[in-house]
Amino acid sequence: MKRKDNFSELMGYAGKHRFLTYASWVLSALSALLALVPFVYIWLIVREVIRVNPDFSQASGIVKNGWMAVLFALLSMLVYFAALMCSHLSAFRIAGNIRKRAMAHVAALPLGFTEEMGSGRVRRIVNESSTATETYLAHQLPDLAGAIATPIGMLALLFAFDWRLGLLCLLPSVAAFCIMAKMTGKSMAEKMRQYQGALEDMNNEAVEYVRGIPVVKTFGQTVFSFKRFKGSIDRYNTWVVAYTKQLMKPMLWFTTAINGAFALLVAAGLVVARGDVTPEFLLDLIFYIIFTPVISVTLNKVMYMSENGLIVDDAMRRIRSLLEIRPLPEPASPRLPKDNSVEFDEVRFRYRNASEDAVKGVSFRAEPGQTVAFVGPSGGGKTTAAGLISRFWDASGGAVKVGGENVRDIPKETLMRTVSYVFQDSKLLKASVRENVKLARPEATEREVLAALHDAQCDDIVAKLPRGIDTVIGAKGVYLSGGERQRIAIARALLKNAPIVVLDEATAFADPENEAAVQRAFERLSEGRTVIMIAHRLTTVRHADRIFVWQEGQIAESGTHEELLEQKGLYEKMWRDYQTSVSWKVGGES
Amino acid sequence: MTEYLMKKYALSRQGAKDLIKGTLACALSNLVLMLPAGLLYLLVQDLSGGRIPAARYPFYIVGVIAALALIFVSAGIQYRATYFATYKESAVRRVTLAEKLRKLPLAFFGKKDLSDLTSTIMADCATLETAFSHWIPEFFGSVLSTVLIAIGLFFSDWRMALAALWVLPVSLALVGCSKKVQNYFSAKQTEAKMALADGIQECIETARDLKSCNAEQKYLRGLNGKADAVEKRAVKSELGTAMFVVTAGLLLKFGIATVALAGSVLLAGGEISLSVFFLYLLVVSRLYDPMNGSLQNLAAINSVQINIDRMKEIEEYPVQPGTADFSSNGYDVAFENVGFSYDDGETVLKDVSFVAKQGEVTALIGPSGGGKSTTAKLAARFWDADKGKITVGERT
Repeated sequence: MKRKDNFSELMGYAGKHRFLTYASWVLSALSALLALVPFVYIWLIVREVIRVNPDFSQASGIVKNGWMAVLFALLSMLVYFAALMCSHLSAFRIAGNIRKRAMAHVAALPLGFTEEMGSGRVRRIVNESSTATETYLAHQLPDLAGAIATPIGMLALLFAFDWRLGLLCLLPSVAAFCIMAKMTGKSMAEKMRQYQGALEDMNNEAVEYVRGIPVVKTFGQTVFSFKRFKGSIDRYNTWVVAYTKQLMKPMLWFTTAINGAFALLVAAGLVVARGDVTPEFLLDLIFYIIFTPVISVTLNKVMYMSENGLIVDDAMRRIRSLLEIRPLPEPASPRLPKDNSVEFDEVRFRYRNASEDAVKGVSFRAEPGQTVAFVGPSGGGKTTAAGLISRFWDASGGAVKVGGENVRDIPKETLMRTVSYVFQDSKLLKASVRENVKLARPEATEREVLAALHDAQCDDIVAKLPRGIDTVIGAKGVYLSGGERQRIAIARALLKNAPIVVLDEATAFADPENEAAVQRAFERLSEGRTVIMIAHRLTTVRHADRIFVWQEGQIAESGTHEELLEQKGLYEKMWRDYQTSVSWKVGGES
Repeated sequence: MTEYLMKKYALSRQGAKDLIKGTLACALSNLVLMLPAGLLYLLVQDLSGGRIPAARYPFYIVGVIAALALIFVSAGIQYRATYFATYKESAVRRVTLAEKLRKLPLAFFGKKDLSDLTSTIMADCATLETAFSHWIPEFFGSVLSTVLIAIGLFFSDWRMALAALWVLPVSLALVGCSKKVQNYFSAKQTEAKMALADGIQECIETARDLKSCNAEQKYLRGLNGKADAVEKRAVKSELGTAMFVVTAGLLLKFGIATVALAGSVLLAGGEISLSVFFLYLLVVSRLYDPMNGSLQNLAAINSVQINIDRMKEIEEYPVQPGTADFSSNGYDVAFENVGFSYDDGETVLKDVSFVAKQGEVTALIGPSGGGKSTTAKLAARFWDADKGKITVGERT
């Protein structure tokens, strides 16, 4: 059974806390049994009153039995409280452990994966699917234990009271369980999946919509993006209503069944009344009359069991789908890079679900200390190829070598120490500038941090921040432009001091000042290192030792600036276009 | 009443009406469940007379069938009034929020981070959906039906009624008192949850950078700390709430004892009949079940206020007013003594005046941070200027 799998899987996250889950079942079942006792005492009161009728002053046990009824009712509640505390402790621990495990897994996955899946979706799986298991573990399972214990307790009471009446009272429970089993059936599970799908669709549209508002406002096109979001809201609503409609009938039967025990008792009374009504029978009947609400109360608690079971099914499926994505394998026999060269040998790479290779059998070599540049139209495979050097993905074919060794054979830590990567859109943590820079080398001294910031041309940034390098980036009112962020990232790379650097130049800068500063910072970073530079402005690459012109996943041309100009190929054309664009004048008069 | 609910729960008029309907429907189905008790009571009375008169047989048969039918029908009414109405209201709420969001000035988006904003809209809507389909109508419905039954009991014997019912106000008072404490707990819990959600989002978004710095393990340790904090908060919250719920529930149980106590005294004094005593035992043993059940959701009901407040914050955020039609006299952009500062108080523009003529290229140059972008953004009305006037084609 699938539900069982879910459960053992959940228990895998519980550690020692799983005993708390088991304890919660025992306690909940115990509480359900204790809840039956007060009714026995109430029955004792009734019996005594009838026995001494009409001289009620003889009835000495009423008050004592009344208190005993309360005592057991309280006991039952306290035990139930304990059961819920146990189950909650365990449920919260399990949800917490799922989150930790999932995040550790996410951090180990190849980088392309979050881009494919969307960061919002990953966060939802980690954060919300784990929460979705809480109700099931904390309430549903202990309540189910209670709902099973109650009929068992009733079976025991069959010996003490009229067994025929007892069996009659059990019938509604049986009916209720049957209806519930039907509600969890296949078609319902399918409906639930579609419902969850519509919900997820709506959430994705919401993220898109909210993200798009600032952009959309600018162009005044609110209606279109709004329509999409509204469409997903409507679809979700349609699903919910259809789903709820389908559940309505079984739910109504369920409610009627758990409250229907009285009908059977009345029927029994009517049948017996045709013969002789013995006082014993009357007393037993009274007992069951007082007793029937217990059945509906316990079964009511598991009313939403099926729904919750399906929610857990879905949550576990999502978590599994995340955990099943394999991280890049660590080498079995690790090797260390021998020098600071970078080499591609017939490297091919294809994105998942893509129909064409993004890198089509490329070979090149950057000698230690050389600066090589990747240029070419966007979408040519430059950034993808650079990502392969840091092993953000594994090549689909051929070998990517750093220091003469295949990156697959270099331990991840070593590879990352060897290669610095300055991204086009570097992300900074919501932490102080100092912490952001020190990320690369936590043991760095204050002096080293300041020197790195200085070399990366960050002095003006630090000077304008209200609390200098202790300013928290992303806090209220503190925002850095793309170029400023990239300079901080360069400071990070300088501090890391890796011998090989991959630089991904930003495509556009807000102002020339920033561009010049980033340029100077790049130059600083390049000194004495092997540099792979992805360039979008050709002036930057003029002095590179070698330029590779990428086109459609291949290196179309290569050579120095002068050599390439002589070839009169793609590069020469790009260079001419570039020259013209520089002389473009404001106002479009040229 | 409708107005009050609209305000308190940030509902549309229809939503508030539906909430009242839902509450009434819940109360109705609780009341209907008292019918079987009445039938059983009559049956016991007849049986204790030794036999049931033949003429009463049809009454019982019809009574049972009618009671079963009423249970079924009232459950159906409740189902319709709570679920369907709520889902309709939910869709309205989501659309209204979406409408509102696009009218907000960009300043609002600068202040919020987007994961927070999206989680606000979607998660809050989902929580409110459950709250208005289950928790709230069930809770108020159970209070209403219990009070109605209580009033009915006073008509038969006020002393016995008192013995059965004194626990109700006490327990409700306790529930009322718990609200503050619970709000404190859930506010703390929400805080921890937001910190974790932000951390997860950040970790996913900066995975590249963390990895290339070999810093992902360090970051994960910090994140685990946040996960632990959420767990701790959740436990505290649960404990804090459970205290009140359990105490209130325990109190309700005392009713049985006091009924037995008062009953024995009154019986001995010959002041009530055996059947009245039996009636009270029967009623008190099931009277509080609906309330006890919905008390389990008390914490959830109380914390709904936090979701609603967050909703209200968006709904009440001032929008940029403006007319939909626009007819201008040319397209000159003119700034007249414009002053502007962002929310953090830093003045960006001081007394700026210029005209950018239609058909000309106007260049804004200067060092970064000089206010060039801000000026352009003000012209497009991403924000509204604090001082002065900005006109496009002589229209503000």
